[in-house]
Amino acid sequence: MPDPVTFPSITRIACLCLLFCFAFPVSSEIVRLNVAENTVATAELMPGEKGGKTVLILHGFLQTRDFFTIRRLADALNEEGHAVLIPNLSLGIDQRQQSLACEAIHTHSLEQDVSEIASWVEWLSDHREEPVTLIGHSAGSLLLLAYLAKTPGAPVEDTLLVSLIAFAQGPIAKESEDDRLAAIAHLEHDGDEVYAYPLAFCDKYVTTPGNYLSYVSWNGEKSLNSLKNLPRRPIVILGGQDQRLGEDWFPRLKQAGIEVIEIDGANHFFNHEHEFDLVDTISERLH
Amino acid sequence: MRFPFKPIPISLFTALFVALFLLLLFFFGRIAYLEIDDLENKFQAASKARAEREIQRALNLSIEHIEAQTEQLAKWEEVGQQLHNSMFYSYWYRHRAKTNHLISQHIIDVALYDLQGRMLSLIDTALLPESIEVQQVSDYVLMNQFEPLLVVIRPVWDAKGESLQGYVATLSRIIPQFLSSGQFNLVDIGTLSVDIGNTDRIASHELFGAIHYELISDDYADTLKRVMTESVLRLAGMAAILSLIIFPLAARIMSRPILQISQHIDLLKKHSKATVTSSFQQPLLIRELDKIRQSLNDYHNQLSDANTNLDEKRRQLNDLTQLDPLTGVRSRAAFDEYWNEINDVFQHSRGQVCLILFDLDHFKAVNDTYGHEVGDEVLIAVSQTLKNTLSDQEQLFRLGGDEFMAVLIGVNARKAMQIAKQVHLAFSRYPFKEIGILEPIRLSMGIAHTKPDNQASLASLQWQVNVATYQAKRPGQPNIILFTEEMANHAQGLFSSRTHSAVFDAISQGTGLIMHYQPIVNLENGEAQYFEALVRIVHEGKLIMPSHIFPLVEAKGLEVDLDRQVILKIESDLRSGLIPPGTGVSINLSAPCIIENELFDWLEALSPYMNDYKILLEITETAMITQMQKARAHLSRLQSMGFRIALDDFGSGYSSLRYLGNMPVDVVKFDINLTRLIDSQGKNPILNHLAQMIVECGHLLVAEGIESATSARQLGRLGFQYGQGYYFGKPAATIVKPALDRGYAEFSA
Repeated sequence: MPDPVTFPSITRIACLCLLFCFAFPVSSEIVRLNVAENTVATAELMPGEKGGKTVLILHGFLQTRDFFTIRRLADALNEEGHAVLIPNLSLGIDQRQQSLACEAIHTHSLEQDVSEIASWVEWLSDHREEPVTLIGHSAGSLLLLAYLAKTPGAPVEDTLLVSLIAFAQGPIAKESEDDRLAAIAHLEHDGDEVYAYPLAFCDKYVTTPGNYLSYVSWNGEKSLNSLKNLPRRPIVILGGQDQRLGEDWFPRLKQAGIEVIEIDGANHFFNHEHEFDLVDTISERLH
Repeated sequence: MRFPFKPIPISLFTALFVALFLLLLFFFGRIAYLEIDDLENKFQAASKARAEREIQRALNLSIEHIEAQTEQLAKWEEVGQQLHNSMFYSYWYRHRAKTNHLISQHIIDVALYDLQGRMLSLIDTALLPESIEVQQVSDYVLMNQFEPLLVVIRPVWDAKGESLQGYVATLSRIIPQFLSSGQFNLVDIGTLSVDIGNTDRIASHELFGAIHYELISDDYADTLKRVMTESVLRLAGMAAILSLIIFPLAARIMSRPILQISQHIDLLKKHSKATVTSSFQQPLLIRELDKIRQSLNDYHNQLSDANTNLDEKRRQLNDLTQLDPLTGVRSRAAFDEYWNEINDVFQHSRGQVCLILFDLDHFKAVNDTYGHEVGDEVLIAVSQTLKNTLSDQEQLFRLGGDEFMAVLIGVNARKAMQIAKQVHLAFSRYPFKEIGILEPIRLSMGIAHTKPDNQASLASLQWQVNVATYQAKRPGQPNIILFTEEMANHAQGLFSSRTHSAVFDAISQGTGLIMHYQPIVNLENGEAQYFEALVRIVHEGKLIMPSHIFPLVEAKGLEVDLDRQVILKIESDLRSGLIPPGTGVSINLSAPCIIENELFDWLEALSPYMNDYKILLEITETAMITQMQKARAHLSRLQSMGFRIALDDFGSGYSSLRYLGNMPVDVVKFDINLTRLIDSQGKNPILNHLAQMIVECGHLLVAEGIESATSARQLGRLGFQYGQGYYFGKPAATIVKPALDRGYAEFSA
């Protein structure tokens, strides 16, 4: 005799809905924050899964979240179930979505960048109601370091600083001590004017002396010291073939007692096959 | 149908044909040239259209390119940064605005404007305006030293596109951008210019209309036109040259045979009886013309043959006309021809010419009485007699009917008279009884001859001989009469045109016709019994007498017509009472009139007068009545109608007793000659008995020509009842009572 037909139970329907929710990830959204007067900064929030980490990934110098290293890393982590927020630092531009040229007039300072980072971390931790894992790339790592140094009680669980770089550090750095001194002189003479200074890979970084000095002050030494002084030290991930950092950077980090993960063969941007190595490394650290 | 133009020579026709051909050649050449010109225009129009498309396309691309760059600028965040905070706008303008990667080298200026359209900061070197109209933002073109510059203005929105930040404007050199945006195959770039007129700016979409340029020379079209033009000119030239060469040649080939034919035709016309010349026997080059030549020769030869035959026929006909077939003597045509020759010969030389005209008396009566065969035998007898009598030098002709003419050259009047008498003698001896003719045949002969001192008489010789012959035929005249000048006067009635027309008018219309009446009286008491009506014609106030009237009437055969008018006139006189009632009137009728069927109708008009008048119809005995039976029947009928029949001139002519025996005669009028004979020979027993016999037969006997009372008494004693003559009264237009002398009165008493 065949089994009688029975209606599905509420439990079964709930499981089916949950299955549908997991089967179709929720799309990302743009989050806006007023970071200064008449300046709104945007971030893309990629919702994570339950049990996933809350991750904030910060782009490099003058870049945006659409820089390929950031975008691929964010997508990969989000696919692993982590909630990812990838903000664009405003750099003084309302709702900035484009990378900023060196020659553009830079009205932002490192302190303003750190303040925006603090706002996003606070918003994210509040939004996710859990501490945030910070991941920075290149100068973004330096800014996260500056943030951590400035914010001892930040709601941060872990920090992964990929291709951490400091100003006046490595062969790519165009700035010199003379430039810093010139900026100091400019600052004393007319601090509201903009000048073109060498900075990082920029030959002419147009900004005010004060803003310029805010960046160049974070040189290698200051960065190492800040790392060493953090109560919870970040993990630094460097490419084995990163030509921008200089040969002494890795030893100095080691010497400072910083955990450094070196991915062989990867350059400063971890492109090509090293993109997966970077993701695997970070995923492993997140778990 | 006649053509309105004259035929033209073939040379002129050929020239006109060549001219027409050349004209047509020029006309079609001109058309071809215009077609080429039109083709060139079409090429140019097509090139212009393609050039316009090139311009339009390049212009659109360049404007779109500049607009795209401007729109990129509007989306550039540094622009938003400046609009958000223009503190460093001057620096940005100098170092970033025109050196960024978003714009091309053709954008020579960039400016940012706030929401009110004001430039963020006034820049001394700025080319763009300090402010823009934000209410109506549009692109436009302005001129800067003849160079068009494109101003493109775009709004700048925030990143979300929700909030307008301001405006960005670019100023571009449109021409370089235009040149770099297109490929120009037809537009001559060097001639490119823009003219916006007197205005300071135009909308960008109006720029196309302000662009001026020239087309690059179209090598293909130019080459095509040149080749086609050269081809047309070459063909036209060749055609013209060939026509100038070939047409005259062809015309010569064509026209020469035609000219030969024409000349040959002229030659044939000039010598119509000439044979075809051997030179024209050569065949012609053109078949059709050669066919014409052959046909012409054939026709000419046929025509020559026909002419030859015609000449022969003409000769035969001439022979026929020259000879009288009946008598064998030469004909009237031969006489005319011979007479012309005589006139030619004797026109300038003096010579004697004599004519003898022979005329049979009453030949018609012979014909009617004995038949034409007998008449022909009479004519043959006459001709034989004449030929036998005349010598070979004397030309004999039969003029027609019973008239024969002998022309005697070098013969005088006396000799001519001898010849005529010889003819008369021979003729009188001819045995006419052998051909059944019992009556004597009389041949009247008139003779006329030229006068040595009057050469002009040759022209009137024929007339003279006619007059003489007529005189010879007159009753009581010798049968041989030599023309005299006196006869000429006497014959005026016969030949005068004045008399001729008067007589004809009287006969045809009664004009001038009057009757004179002569009394016929009773010899016993001298009272007029009736009156004989005698014909007169009044013309131009003068009387024309019967001696002039009747020869013409008889010669022209107008007797019946005259008699009819006479009857009408008498009826008129009776009606008017001219003739005293109780008397009578006698009317002379000609022999032809007696047998006229309409005579009864005419005389019927006189019937109303028969109660008051005796009406007699007189038949002259001298006129030969040809149809005796019919005449007798007619006279009997007239007698039954109440008319009395009188036989006039009894004893002067033919068959007096025969007529008297056969005709229903009531009255017999003795001829005047017979009366005179009685008068002179009062005791002539034959005449006395003849008169008595007639009276005893019941006829009333009338004597004519009584001129004295003695004659009247004597004739009365012989049995004549009535008499007529001058003694009793002459013919007069008015009737008067006869004035008889005492002796006659006594006699009568």
